[in-house]
Amino acid sequence: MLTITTLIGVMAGGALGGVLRAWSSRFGARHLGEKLPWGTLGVNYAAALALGALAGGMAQSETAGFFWAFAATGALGGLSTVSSLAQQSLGLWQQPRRGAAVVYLALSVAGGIALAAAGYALAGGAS
Amino acid sequence: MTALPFYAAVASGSALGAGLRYLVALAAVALMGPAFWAGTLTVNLLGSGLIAWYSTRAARSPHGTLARWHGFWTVGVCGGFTTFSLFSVEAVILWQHGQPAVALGYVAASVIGWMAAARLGQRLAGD
Repeated sequence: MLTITTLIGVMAGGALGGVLRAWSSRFGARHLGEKLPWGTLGVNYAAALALGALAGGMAQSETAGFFWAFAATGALGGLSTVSSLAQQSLGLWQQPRRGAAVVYLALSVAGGIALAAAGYALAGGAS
Repeated sequence: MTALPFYAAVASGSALGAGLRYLVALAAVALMGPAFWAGTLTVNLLGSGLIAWYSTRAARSPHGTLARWHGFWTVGVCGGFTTFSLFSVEAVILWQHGQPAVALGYVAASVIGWMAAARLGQRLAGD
C-alpha cells in the first residue's frame, strides 16, 4: 500500500543504491579495465544475492513495511540496473564486439539468477 | 542551468527513478494481480528504451544540455527506475512455486525485450 513513509523509504534507499552503483561502475572501469562493464556486473550480482536472501528470509507480510521499502525496493532495487545492462550490451554488439556482448548478457542473467537462488535458499526460502 | 555535481545528480535521479518504479509496481499489482512480475518488466523495458534514446541524443552534442544532465537522467533516473535484483528474484520465485515454464518465459521475454527496447530507443533518437 502506498504511504508517504514507504515512498520516502524507497526514494532514500534508491538514492543510496544509485550512488553506490555509480561509484562501483567508475571503480570497475578504472581498476578492472573496460573489456566488460565489471562495475555494473558486480552491483547486479551483489544486489541479486542480497535481495534473494531478504526474500527468502522474510515473511510475505513483512514486505509491506518501511524496512522492505528502504532496503529491498529502494537500496537493492536502485543498486541494480537493467537500463545500463541493456545499453552496455547494445554498445558492445555495435562496436562490434558481439562475442563480448553475448558473454556479458549471459553472465549477468545466468549469474544474477543463480546468486538470487543461492541467497533465497541460504535464507531458508527454498521449501 | 548548470548541471549538478555528478554524485548529487545520480542520488536525486535515482531517488526519483526508484520512487516512480515503486508507483508502477503498485499500479501493476492493482491492475494485473497475480502477475507480480508485470511491473518489473514494464519499468525495465521503459528504462532500457529511455537510456538508449537519451544517450544517443546526448552523444550528438557533447556540450549540450542533454550531455550535461546525463548523470541525472541515465545513471540516476534510468538506473533507479530499472531493477535487475527484483527481476532475478522474481525468476527464482516463479521457479520455486512450480511455474518453471513461466519463469523461463519471463527470463527470455525480459532479455529479448530489454535489448529490443534499447534498440528502439536508439532508432527513435535517429540512429
